[in-house]
Amino acid sequence: MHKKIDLKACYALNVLLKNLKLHTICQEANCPNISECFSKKIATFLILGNICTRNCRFCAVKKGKPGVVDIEEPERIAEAVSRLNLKHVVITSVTRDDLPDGGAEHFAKTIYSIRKKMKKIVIEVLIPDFKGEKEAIKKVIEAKPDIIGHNIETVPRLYPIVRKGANFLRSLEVLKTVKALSNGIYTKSGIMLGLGEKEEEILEVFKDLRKVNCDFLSIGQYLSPSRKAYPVKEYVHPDRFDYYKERALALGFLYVASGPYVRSSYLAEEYLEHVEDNKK
Amino acid sequence: MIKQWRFIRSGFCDPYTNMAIDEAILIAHSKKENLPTLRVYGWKPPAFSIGYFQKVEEVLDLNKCKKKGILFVRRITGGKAIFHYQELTYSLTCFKDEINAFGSVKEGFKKICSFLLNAYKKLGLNPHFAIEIKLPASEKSLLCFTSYEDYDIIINGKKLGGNAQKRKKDLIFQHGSIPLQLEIDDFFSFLRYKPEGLEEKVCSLEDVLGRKISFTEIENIIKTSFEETFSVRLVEGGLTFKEQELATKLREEKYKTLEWNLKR
Repeated sequence: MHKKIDLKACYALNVLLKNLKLHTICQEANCPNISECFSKKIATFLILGNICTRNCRFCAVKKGKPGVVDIEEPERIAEAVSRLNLKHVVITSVTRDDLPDGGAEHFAKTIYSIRKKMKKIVIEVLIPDFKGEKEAIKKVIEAKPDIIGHNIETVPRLYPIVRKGANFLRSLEVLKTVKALSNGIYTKSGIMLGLGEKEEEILEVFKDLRKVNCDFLSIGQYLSPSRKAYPVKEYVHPDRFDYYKERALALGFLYVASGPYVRSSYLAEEYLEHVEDNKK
Repeated sequence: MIKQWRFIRSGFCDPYTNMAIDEAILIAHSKKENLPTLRVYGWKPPAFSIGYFQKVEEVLDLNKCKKKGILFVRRITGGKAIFHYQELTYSLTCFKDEINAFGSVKEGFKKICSFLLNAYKKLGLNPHFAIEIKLPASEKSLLCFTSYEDYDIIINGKKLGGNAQKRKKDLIFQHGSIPLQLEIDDFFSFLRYKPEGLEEKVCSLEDVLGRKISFTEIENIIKTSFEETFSVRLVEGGLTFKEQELATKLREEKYKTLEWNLKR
């Protein structure tokens, strides 16, 4: 229950990230769990730079024109993962609509590089929608990560307000495509509460995600990452997170993490561990 | 909409880390970069904290502390020395309007300390503010637990814990210590000034409850009491990246240094 803050461990991780010139979504998105995760030497790596081509209003990541792709980044990510001796790594990226394949090749290279160094590691990737391009999604699948996540983020009604540039059905299609083209790769999605959605809309999203056989779900409270970001419309009571978890599990998700501070890669190893435990 | 605060349970940290984290939260909040925050924590290893205006060498036998490896750290708040062992420390950072603590510093102190009063009532105790039971003004003491302020909490005629506040315009920072157990022998020998009759003046939660109370139990009671007293929701969380970086810097460049700790 206690989230011991080990500043020495946090500092060591910061130094490692700086030395290897790597970004994390934990830092770029002002994640509220950063001190807990960094104290445990856990980070979610952000590849393809730290500037996003989309303009989602809930996200603190810088927006603008990204730089060229750093082709040596996959090796450095693998080096960091190896030095940290991670058993489960989560890799995500900014959205790169400027690249022909949205950065899919870079995702694949990162997965290959990590796997080359650490055979048994669980690799989870949290991908953008690649504008729905099947070939791009296929490139990531072929690199054989263990889990492919794509966050649905909110209910369809709020997409034009907080997630311009994205499309609810396209995001569902990404998860559907992963399931259709892959063999044994788990899929995962995440939704934030407190953006102004209604209960029936949330439950509808759960059903939509199950229709495309999404395996895992994270449900967390939206917290405005900066004063410029979209304001919080509601602080959902912690008991409601339990309620939504039960409703989601009843629909057949293999594992659901739900709570105010749950984020899509928070305690990421728990999802698969839960599935493995159930197999025993 | 019910106001949201952040609740950080940061477990047990060393004295420099504890003070650095508190100040990092305070600085970030002064820039409105975080939510108002209630943090609860313990100290490992046990250590003394010294009030900002105290002279350490007048309070502690520094040679003995050094010999026995007892650490000490200067706080940013005033008040007197505390030995942090088998206790829970809380820190609260907010703007006046976030807790409706308008009026004088004393009124603000009363307002904030009411969550502690309510927490102790939840435990079935009968706590009072010192001013309510008209305790005679205490002799000047260098130890926090042995000197009474108007809004210190008294149970069965003895003081339970202590609190200190710092204000910067509309910003309030308060921290306090709640002793779960109190063994005077644990720290007595490190004091330069040895107050008499300490046992009759101070108590711990276990003394007044007549049972053991865990760190987690009091953490949870504090949380519930705080939410009820101030009609806010405490959402569990940790430090932001900026706070974390700042705390690291403050730990190394301020709280670990003799320059800060022997300042006066």
